[in-house]
Amino acid sequence: MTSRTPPKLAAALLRHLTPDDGSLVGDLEEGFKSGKTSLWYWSQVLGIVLTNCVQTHTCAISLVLAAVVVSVGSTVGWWQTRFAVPVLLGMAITSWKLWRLHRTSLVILYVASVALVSPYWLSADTRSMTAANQVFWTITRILGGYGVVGVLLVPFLILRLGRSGPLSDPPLHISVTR
Amino acid sequence: MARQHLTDFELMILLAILRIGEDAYGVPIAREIEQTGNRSVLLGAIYAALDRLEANDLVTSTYGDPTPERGGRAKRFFKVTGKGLKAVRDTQRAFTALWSGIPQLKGGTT
Repeated sequence: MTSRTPPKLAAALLRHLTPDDGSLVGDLEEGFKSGKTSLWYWSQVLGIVLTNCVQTHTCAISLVLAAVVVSVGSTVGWWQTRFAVPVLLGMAITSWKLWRLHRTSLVILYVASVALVSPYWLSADTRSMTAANQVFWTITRILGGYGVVGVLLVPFLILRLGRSGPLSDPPLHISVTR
Repeated sequence: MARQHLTDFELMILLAILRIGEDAYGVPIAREIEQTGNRSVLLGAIYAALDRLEANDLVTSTYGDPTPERGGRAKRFFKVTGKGLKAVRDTQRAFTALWSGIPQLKGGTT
């Protein structure tokens, strides 16, 4: 057993990102002091963070992925209005998921999206566009705002609501009956 | 829907606890699985599985005294309950039944 100290950044990650009573951190420290490498410590910490994240935030992780997909899609849609329909579909799916998980967040998401795009919307000159183009133009810009706000809002939801709030998954129950 | 069986990892953990006996906490459990199971494991995965097993009354845990080599943190010792032992036996029985009567597996270990 040596008096080495574990990598500080990894230890800080472990302290802040995982709920632990100290036994797991103690096990890691014991393993490290008994001769394991910093690489071992880092891989264990990343594994713990990932495992914990998957366990407690499955819904939120899917929302992050959905937000990323929508944001990429809406960015494409911003330039190419013909992509608006699939992006609209993506928005409908993520909205449905968010509606089931946390309605207030969905309302915040939409209000923030509109607020983000409205200055540009109001200042833009759309008079030369046809009516159909104006509709597509409006949709793509709202989608752009939705994607941007979604990416910003969902990590916030994970941090504030994920662990014990409405986004947390119920624990897995195993029963052994034969 | 509740699962009706142990996963191979949960079974390995229960067997490791039974093999270690009184001193079964995270580090020796991981070592036992690595040595006898010939696979590397993450302590986080072991604790996640142990928490699931404890939630289903297959293991119980108690805390020891904090020690300096662990940065003043206590060990969490695990014990297999009667229900856990029954689950291990049931799984063994199921595996044995599956194992028997397979011609390719007769007459060797490789």
